Amino acid sequence: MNKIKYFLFASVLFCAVAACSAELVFETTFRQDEKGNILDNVNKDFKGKLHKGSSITDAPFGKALKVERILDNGAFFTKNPALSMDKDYTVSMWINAASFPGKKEKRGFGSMTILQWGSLRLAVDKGGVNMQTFAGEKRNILFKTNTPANVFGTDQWVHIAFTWKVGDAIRLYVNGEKKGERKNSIKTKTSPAMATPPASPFTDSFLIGSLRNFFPFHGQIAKVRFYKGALTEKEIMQEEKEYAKKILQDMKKDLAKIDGSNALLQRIGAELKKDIPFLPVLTAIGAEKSRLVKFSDFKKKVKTAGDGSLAYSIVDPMGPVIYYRDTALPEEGLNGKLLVVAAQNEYEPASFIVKPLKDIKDFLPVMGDLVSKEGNKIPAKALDILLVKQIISANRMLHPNVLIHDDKMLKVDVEKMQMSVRCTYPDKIVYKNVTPEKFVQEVGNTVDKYPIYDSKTLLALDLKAGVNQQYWITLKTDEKMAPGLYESKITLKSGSKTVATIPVKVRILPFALPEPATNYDIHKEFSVATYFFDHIQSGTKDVKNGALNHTRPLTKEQLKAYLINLREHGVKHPTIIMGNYFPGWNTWKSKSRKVGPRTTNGDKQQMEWMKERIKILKECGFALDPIYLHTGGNIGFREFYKRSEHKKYLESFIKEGNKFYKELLGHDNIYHYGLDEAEGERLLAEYDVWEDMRKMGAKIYTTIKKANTPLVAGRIDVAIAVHQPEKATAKLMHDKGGRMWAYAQPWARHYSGYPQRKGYGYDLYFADYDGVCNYSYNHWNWQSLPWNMYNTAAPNLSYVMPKADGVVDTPGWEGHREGTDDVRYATKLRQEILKAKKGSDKVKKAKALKAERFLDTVNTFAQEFDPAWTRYHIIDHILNLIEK
Amino acid sequence: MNNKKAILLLWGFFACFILMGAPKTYKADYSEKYPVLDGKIPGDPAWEKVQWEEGFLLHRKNASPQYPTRFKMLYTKDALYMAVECFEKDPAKLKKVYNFNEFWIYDTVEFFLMPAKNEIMQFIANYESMTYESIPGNVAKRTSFRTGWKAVGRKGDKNWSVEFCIPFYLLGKVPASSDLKITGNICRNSVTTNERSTWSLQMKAFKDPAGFGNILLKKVPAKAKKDLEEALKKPHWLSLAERWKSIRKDPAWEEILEKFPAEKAALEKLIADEKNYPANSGKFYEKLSRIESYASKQEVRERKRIWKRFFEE
Repeated sequence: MNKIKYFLFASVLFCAVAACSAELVFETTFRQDEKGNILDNVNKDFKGKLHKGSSITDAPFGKALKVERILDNGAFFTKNPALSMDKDYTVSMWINAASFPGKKEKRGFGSMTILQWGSLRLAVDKGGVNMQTFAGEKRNILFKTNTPANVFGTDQWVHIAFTWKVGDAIRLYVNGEKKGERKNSIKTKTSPAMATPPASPFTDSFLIGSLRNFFPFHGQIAKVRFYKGALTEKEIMQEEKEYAKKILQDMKKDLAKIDGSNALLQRIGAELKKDIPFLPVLTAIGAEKSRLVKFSDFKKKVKTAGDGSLAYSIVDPMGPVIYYRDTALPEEGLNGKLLVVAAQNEYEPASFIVKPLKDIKDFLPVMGDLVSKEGNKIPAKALDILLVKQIISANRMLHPNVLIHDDKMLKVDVEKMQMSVRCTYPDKIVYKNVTPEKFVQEVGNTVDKYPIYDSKTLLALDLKAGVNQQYWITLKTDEKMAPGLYESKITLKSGSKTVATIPVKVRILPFALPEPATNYDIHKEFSVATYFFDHIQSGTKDVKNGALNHTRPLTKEQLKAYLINLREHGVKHPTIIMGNYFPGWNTWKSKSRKVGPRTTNGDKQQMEWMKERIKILKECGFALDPIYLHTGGNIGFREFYKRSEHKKYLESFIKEGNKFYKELLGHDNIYHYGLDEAEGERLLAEYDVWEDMRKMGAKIYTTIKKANTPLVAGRIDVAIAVHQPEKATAKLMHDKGGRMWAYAQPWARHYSGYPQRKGYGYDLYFADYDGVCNYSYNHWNWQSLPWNMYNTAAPNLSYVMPKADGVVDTPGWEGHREGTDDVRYATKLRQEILKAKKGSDKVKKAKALKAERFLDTVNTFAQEFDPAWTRYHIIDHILNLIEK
Repeated sequence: MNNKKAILLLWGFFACFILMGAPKTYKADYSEKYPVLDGKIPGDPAWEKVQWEEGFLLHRKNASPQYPTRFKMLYTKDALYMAVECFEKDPAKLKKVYNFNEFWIYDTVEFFLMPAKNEIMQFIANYESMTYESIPGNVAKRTSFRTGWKAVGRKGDKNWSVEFCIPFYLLGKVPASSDLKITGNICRNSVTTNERSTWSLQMKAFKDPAGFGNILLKKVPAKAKKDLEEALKKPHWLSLAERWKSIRKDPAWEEILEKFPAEKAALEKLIADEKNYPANSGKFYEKLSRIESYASKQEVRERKRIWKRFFEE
């Protein structure tokens, strides 16, 4: 009976593969014999053994191998001459990953092996596949390739195929779609180069599952096939059509019990009708199914708002939680009131998330005018409503990164994980793909090539059932607004129909906020600086096109838009990185460089360009007193300064520079940048040039590690330190007449305001720091458009994104502003405390002491610390001191 | 005969193949005696009968380091303890620490424990009892931030040593009804020899669970079972002592403590009696909870008042 079964099986197989150009030489569907050996459906006498810890489990299409995240785990098969691969070959399998390697694992080390066959290793990592093998007679020619990351998710069946085609290329396919390809080998010390894969015969044992020394796979593997010959995309889909159909049928069964799945069921139905289903659709259908399941649970439990077509939740825009498309709506703010409290001269954020229970077309939240019971009015336009748009950025990850008015500015296809950016030309609109399969360097990121614009006001969009849409509101107050409690509502509209309303209450406080001052001395500025690139060292006169990257010159209008944005976000001192050539410096790279220091400060043209830059900065509201210049590391002398040879040049630089700025700005209060992040000998080598610069009237600021503060205190004027801020370290600088700022605490990020608020607000203020200068406002990688997925610097080293006429804000940048405002509130309280203590009102004095005790005992690193509630307590104390 | 030999060889190879791939396992027993946390291991009655575990391997290499490391573990009614000895040519020449925030550039022992999925905890300590940690947010939440643990180090003539105390309240699991398996690893950074080594062979980053071994806590004797289970219900005395130390002189807590003079006095007495922290942990918890519960209710009241002040609701 077994022989008959086997014969029938083999016949079916034969027929199935007859249509295909390659010859099937091995297939296991993880059937077992009575002894538990794993059977090969092609060669009946060839069997494999299950390694300890792995097991055979049920799958939609029969059986699968279950691998449990253990080293050396899987099904092992010995060498078989029938599986000698002489020329072209294909490996094909189905996998279902239960989890992926963690975030910190590097590619190559963070892989989960699914097959090791001789030197061929096939592995999965972060939603992608990679392979490597050694070929050639000596097995010393290294070939490897990989797919992009995040091509598929966990808990879904995915088909993987690898083909080796001699004289052509090696290829990786995911669900029948080519996702990785390489023609040439990798040249290393021991691996010669080859232009295309050679014929490289091998006959080896193989293990399906996890190898001994690699991050073990966690999930299931099914239907593993080896072919002699390289399958094409069409052939792969043809070969796998039965399995694909079974998976789709299984999904259909699950979805039939879920509400709102009609569209998806229809889609599955359409695929099932085809002779050969389009395999790539499995990934998208799998992701959509998982979202629908979550959404179905949500609909059963949720209390809806308005006409029942949606629920919404008020969320804290500065909270630690980040909301994605399918994050559960927090219970706390469900269908609640939007409550905002603000002083008379600040920007205050608020936020809500809408989760529609059905598709809603032309959805638009509309703010109403705010009215107080005293009859005072705040026009609706004081509250700007923006979308929190989830975009695809570095490593093909989806994050709520930007705040925009027009959803159509960026088209994001979450199924294909692709994004395109709208370019509005005079005669047409074109969407350009910024998530290509492979990175291609492109440096000409100018406005004429990428005319990317957002709308000035919020536009309607279509909401999809079950998919969250977060909105961000920024209230801009001014001193004309009368204090009081104002009420209004946000009408959530679908076309002309109202679907729900969100009640709004805004408390305008009876005071304006002062400029931020330090905690330890109310008369000392808490400086808000940031690293900023403007790239106009050659002036703006000849700039025609403007730039969408910081490495290209901006137009005057663009620069103004950047600067106004900086100022509106509380920045007082944008340090201008490497774009400042006056006073000029010599770019020394090494001690042995023969070119000596400049003997002059550069020509008149550079002075004119610098004058223009200063003029624009002043027009945009920057006092530039003091002025922080980035001047190539100790005005170019870096760590190579030799007093006996260079002092005269240093003197002439500083003299000429100071004269220039005094004429332009009325002062020569100039800070020059030292060596960035210098340590050890390099740091010590700066001592002479610092001493001389300071004697000549220049000031110095630079980055250090906090632990090196004792080495710079008394020698420089501002230390910008990395690592957790501490009062004791700040005191080291203060005792020697210096100041302490911070950076990289944390690094600039787009998608979360909370760490920026805390890190650049109370953490620094209560550690008695003097300011902040984080990296950076706009460092985007120069090799591509910042919106390009491969521009990893964009979401990880900058606060904003570029558009043709300015910048796009992000939650991270808003968080930075909130941190500054936190310091302003604390400053206001300190001012009122001082006033009350000097006065004669005993009750106020007692309240002042209580408030002072509160401020003096805040511990921002305590487990219970909450920046929002710290601010509310501060406001409460301020009101106690100023209200009659 | 030849066939039999071939089969035996094949099985032997197969067995080795499996065994070499099998994770290392360390078995720890229950101890009634508590180690004295002072970094001194010889002469401590609690450690006397516990065997050393050796065989550290170089990071990413299946080879022995220049200077060995060894450790032993036991557990008590409320915590897992580990003693580690790191041998050095000349402990007097160990690198001076300027900033332990950059612990990876100094001589340290890193103790990884993963009692549950998504709960990889990392405890770092050195010969000067400097510590650093990485405890996931979900653990902090689970324990209401009572994540106290301790390590005490000491320099010897030929080695430096460190003792760790990791409470079960932090781990969230105990070997009450059966043996308890926790995956983890012990890793050492030796600056003098520029070597990194691990107990369980680690081919990836130290924190990679793929390279972890198994730490098996043998089931507790019946007489201690109840106490062990109780250890999961309230924070360990380390967290309680740490918490009291942080608030007792904190001016922000002054007003609240004035309302609890008896509790404050009792806690001051308890905190001064370091040797009896384990025995007094119940009293500690009771007194501290009363104060914290009041503080927490007061904060809730304050927040409601402030909210009403702002929004009249």
